[in-house]
Amino acid sequence: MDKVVINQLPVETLRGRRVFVRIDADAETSSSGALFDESKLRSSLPTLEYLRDVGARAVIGASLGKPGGRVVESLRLGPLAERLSLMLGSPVRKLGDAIGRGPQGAVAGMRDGDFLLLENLRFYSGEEANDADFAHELAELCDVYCNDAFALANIALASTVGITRRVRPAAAGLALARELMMFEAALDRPDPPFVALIAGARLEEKLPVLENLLPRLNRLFIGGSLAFTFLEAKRRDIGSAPVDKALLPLVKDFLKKAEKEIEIILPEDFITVQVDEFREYEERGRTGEPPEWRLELENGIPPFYLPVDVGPATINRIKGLFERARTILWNGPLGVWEVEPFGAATRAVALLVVERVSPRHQRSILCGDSLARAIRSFNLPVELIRHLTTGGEPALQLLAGNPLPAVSALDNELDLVAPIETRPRRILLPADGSERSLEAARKLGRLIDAEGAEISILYVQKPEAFAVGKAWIDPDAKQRREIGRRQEAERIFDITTAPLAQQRLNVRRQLTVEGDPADEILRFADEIGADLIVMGSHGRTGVLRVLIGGVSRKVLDRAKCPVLIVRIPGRSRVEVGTFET
Amino acid sequence: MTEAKMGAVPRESLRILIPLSGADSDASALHIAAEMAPRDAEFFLLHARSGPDEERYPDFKRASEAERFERGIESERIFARANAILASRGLISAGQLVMQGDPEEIILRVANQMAAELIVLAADAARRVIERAACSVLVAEPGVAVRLAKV
Repeated sequence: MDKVVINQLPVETLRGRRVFVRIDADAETSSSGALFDESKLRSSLPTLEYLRDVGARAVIGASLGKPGGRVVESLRLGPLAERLSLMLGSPVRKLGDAIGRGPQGAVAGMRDGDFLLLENLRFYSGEEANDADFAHELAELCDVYCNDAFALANIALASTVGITRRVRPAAAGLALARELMMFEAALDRPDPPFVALIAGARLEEKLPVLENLLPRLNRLFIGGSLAFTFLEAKRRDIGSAPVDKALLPLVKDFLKKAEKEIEIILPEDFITVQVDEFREYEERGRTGEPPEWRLELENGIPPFYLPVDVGPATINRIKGLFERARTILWNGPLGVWEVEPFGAATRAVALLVVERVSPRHQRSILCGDSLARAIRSFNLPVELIRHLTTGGEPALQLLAGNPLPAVSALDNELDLVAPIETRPRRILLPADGSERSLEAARKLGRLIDAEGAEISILYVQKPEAFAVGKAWIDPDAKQRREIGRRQEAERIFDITTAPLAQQRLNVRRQLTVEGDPADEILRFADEIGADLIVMGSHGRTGVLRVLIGGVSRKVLDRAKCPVLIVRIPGRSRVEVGTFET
Repeated sequence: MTEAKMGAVPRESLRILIPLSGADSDASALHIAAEMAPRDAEFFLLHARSGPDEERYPDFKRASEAERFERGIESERIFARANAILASRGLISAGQLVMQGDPEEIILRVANQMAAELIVLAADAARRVIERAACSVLVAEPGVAVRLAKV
């Protein structure tokens, strides 16, 4: 993993310093009440204990439920602080706010090894919006950033992404690092045979996963309601099982391609119920006796029968696959596990993982929110499972080969070994006193973060026309002309500097040269090591006449750094008033 | 890119349009945009696919749902990578949009519709955009196309 992990930072970086730790404690059901996910909390204990042990001052950020950017009394984090205190064996002080004077004072009064829990971050609308100001306020509370919330890594929050813009180093917590390393190991260097069991529902989300896994796998078992569309593609009689008609062509394509490369295994037998009886049972809110079930082969499900779980032959097949595998990936439950008898297959396979797979140190990753819920509901010793991920959504993203924003936001190990040299940005602003070059100066601070940048203004004068004859006859005339030219340069610098000063931007140097404007601009940009060249340009005027100057064109063709073309609004746009500021 | 999202900001924030093609050059545009943009900027990602413009020419053979789904996956991958680059600078996109047609036309049209103040382009994205855009344009790697052509 190329991201830096909290325990890789030198201890001096942490001792006595304020470390913001983003943890996730949110249970899926917590929108109804303040219930947190114990297993997520437990996963973050190693990071918190480590910080205490090295004498850091941990400022913990967490969120609960979906209060939608306002205070909801039932979602305050008091109970979470109590629970954390118990688990850590150290007091965790809970604050009434997450930002502002209160937290600032509390943080200032912390001692080494202390814990502080900020109020529910989702009480602030800035959290979900990744708002720069809110992130800034959080950043004020700490010196070091640490993210230990894998389950939130697929979204960008102020406390997971925005804050890293202002706090360095930004490291992964131990739980987050462990999750990432498990997935990386399975996806990038799996120990063969690598077997995946992909089940559950939501074919549209799993297809990209299957595509991405295909080149890495040795065997693929497709189960859950996902399997129905695959069985349909193979023209099996699957009764009333729901099929995704729209995606059927893609499933066919996938099968054609995949079966050339690896073994694809589909369920052989199903537990089925009468579709009407099951519907009635659902309508009763799944109370009373579940409908009677019968066992059917995969190719003989009568009409009006619905598969709700896989049968014993299929379970045995999966057991065989798992026994022989060295890397196992399991996503999604095999049946309607919420209804007691129909969780049997999921339970049997989970038991196999606990009893056989994990003790033999086969590598296994179990992921998906509903699979995790299913396994917990079976009262199996979850802690014996080698890896049960805490985040279903981020896991799917990783399996589909997509990066996670909150992980991208963290520092790479290399950044810390050899930090990138930072210097003020150097901006080259060619000026000629024309309206378009003035517009470039006026808009600069609006379009670019030019605060603290070193701006160089370059005025390229046309070479003096060869009025040689007069000039050497009359040295005074030459001098007068020289003065005139210098005054013209002064005037141009003055009118160009004025709007920059208004934006509180620093002009570092002003230079007049003679020659071909584009050549001089490019030469000077090289000379000062410009990070940006800013050119003004007219917009369209009247009929669609294009007015990007020859100079801009030439600069664009040959510049070695980014070029900003600042547009003067064309007449039509001014009337509409869209671009006037 | 919903209206609500675009109109919700009380402060006049700078709307930046970043067209994406799925090519490697997307990354340089995103890095430069993230690095140079002022603090209150909002980044809108546009995946401009080249292909028949189905909205404008409804008679043209429409893509099947499966084809649309596959395109959707491709666009999502492109957006995921783009957002990861923005996130590496602590930023995130404010909206994302996929359109099919002539990419240059799409970029110009969308920039107008959303009143973008700045378009950030990699080098190979089209002279026409640079020349015809009604708003300012930041070119991340100017000269690259030319240099490559000379080699």
